Amino acid sequence: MNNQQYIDPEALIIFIYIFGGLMVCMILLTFIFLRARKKKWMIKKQLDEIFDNWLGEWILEDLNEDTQLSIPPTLVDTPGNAYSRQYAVDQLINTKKNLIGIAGQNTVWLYEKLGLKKISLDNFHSRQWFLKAKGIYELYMMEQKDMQDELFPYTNSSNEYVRTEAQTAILAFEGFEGLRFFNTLTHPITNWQQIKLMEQLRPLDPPGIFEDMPNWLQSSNPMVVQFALKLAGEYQQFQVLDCVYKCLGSEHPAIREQAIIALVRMGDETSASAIIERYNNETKNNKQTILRSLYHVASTNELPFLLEVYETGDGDTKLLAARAIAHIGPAGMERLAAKGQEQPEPYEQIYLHIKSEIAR
Amino acid sequence: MSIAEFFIYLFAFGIFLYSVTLVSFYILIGFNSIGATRKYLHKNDFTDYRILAASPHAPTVSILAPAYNEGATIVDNVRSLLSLYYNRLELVVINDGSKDDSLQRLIDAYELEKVDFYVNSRIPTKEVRGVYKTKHPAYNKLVVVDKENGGKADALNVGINIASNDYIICIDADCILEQDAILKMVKPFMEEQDAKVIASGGVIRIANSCEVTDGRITKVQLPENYWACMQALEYIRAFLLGRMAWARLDGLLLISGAFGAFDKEIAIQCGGYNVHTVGEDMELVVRMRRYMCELGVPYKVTYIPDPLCWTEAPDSAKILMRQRNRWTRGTIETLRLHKTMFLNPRYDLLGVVSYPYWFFFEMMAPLVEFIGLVVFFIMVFMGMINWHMFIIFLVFIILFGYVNSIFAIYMEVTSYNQYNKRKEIRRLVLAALSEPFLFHPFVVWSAIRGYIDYFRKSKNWGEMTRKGFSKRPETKPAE
Repeated sequence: MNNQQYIDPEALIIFIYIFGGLMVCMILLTFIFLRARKKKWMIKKQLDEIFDNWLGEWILEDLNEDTQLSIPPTLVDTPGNAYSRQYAVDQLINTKKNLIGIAGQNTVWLYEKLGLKKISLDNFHSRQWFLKAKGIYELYMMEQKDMQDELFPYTNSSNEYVRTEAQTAILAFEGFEGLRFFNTLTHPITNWQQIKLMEQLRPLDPPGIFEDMPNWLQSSNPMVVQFALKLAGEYQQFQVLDCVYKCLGSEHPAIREQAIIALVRMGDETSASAIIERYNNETKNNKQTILRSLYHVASTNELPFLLEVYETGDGDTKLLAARAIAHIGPAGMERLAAKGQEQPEPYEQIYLHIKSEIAR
Repeated sequence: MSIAEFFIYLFAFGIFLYSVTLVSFYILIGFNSIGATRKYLHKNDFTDYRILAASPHAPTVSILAPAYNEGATIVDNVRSLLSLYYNRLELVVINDGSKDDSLQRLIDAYELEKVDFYVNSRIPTKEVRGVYKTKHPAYNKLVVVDKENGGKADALNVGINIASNDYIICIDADCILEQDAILKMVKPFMEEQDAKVIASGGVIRIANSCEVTDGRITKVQLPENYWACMQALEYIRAFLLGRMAWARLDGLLLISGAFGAFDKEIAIQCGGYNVHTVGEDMELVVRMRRYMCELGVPYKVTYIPDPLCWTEAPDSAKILMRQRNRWTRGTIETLRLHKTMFLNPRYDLLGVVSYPYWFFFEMMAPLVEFIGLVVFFIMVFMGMINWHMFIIFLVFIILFGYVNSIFAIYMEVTSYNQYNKRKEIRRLVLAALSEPFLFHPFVVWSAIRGYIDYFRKSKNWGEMTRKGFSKRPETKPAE
């Protein structure tokens, strides 16, 4: 049988040569890369030693303008030292992450004295997003506050990674005041970034009142509203309580959920009834959030509602309602016990479950 | 041309078309994996995962670890899992009716007590005999469930029912996880924007020949054993190229049962793991995706290329054959269960690309190869072979396979570089060169056996005897 009339064997032979050539090239490249990596590793190991000794010498010193810094030749600003200087930036950042006080400040001083900011600026000015993001990261980790105006526009960059690093940078430079970027933010802010920002703010002294909070709570960007609600709850922003209540009626379930959590954290006497009012119209997830929240704020006033949910809800709902009922006090536990006796399946097991949880 | 010649010609042409399509897919996968891996590495170059570990705003996670007759290693494995770096974590170990002393060992080691526990059986399962917890503060994340034997899928379903957290991470109890595995697995769920992340997969690596100390991999080494070494290459190819590329194309159909994270609520709404298939891991992902498509809710299944989970691969032909037999049956069962998706535009890329790819090039491939071989011998017998063309074709296909494998090795070296000695890379290359003559025919034959067992309606999970990282015998649940 002759396939040759349909498939040109010559063409296949050309492909065979191409594949063979590709294969050999890739094997060679793999070994070259491996060799380069090993070489880099050796250099890194040497650098580690030099850098550690050098850093150890300076990190705890009282460094000031008069200090005469001895710079190892490998860290001097020459074109051949690009790798070792980038390495020095990375190491200083790692060191700073683990140090506070004078030692932490000294890393910044050394960064500046070694002229390493130039490397970060080169990264920042790169057209490649990951280098730009890295540059911003280096600049804020090394407290280069003079960059804040230049970085600010990037807090609303269309590139997610550049944007998030710029937002982190502005917060690092300005603390709570840096949150002003929410006024102009039109892009999403992921939960990951929200956590990152919340954790970044945690050690700082908060202002009594967040002036821009009402604007953020009415932002057209749902993720800004979500984050603002987190802040409102965490930092007890009672002045925006009305706005938080309004958020209970948002079209976005995630905003409503955050509003429920914020209301409970802010602990208004009407919070419990307000969230109960929402219960029937909520998504399953938000219903569960309401029940979890009621665990913290419910009193005997909420007992009828909780008992109703306890009887009518599905298994998960029953368990959450039972927890909230039990947390009200002995009266709640008595009701759970009574229901367990009246209708053992499933209430007796739920009662015993809750009892066991409390005992632990 | 006689009728016989016509059919044989048609067959040969079909095989040619099949090969060209497969080669095109591999090229597409190769390019996409480069893009996906590079982006991931750049994106997470300086990510500080520690933020998430301790944050009260981090999502809650339950690890589900089913165990069957793992008494020899269960205590150490649980200790290793308890030391994972994540605050809002619960570890649910499900003793799937072990016949050995697994449960007692756990009770003794972790001072467990049977507690009253309300199990909300949203997914029907075999009976739960008891739930155990401890008052010891160091182990307060641990929940041990004792249940009747029902197989891995049933055990995982019990875990899903018991889990109290929003996300579940299903693992094999004998796997070794990296310390930051949970942090890295959870991050994609927190990065969702327009589309809900319903599942996330992680890369599995082969732990044979690696040095393990206190439940941690302390030195990565390429397996000495040929079968395990071949699987190391296969895993690099499958995880670093295949799954990364499919995840980027949003067409990933399989997250390994040894390490996968899921949105618990979606998993429950889909009915949990299917206990009637031996490919429960793939089946759940396909069902979850199908469910989201049918709901019309935008969603995503993500994949992480970091080597986060280490497992022991079969190092004997007999055990490997059982495993591949089961995988084949699992694939057939899953694709059959969801046949409505085949070339169905309602399921977008999943229906028109992913499913057909799995159907033609994963499920059918061994069959096509086997039938091809049979036809080849018939043609030889009938003197119909154009040997010149045949040899050119054969060399073409073998060389393409080599290019694909060498590319995978190159990607491994330029990304994670777990095997960083020249000797190891040389061995990987040699393994790749031997594949078409030894390992591949073996895998094809195992798959054919899987087909036979499938048509015999065998539901056997296949005993998976493992040597363990440190002299530890272990068996997987059998029917």
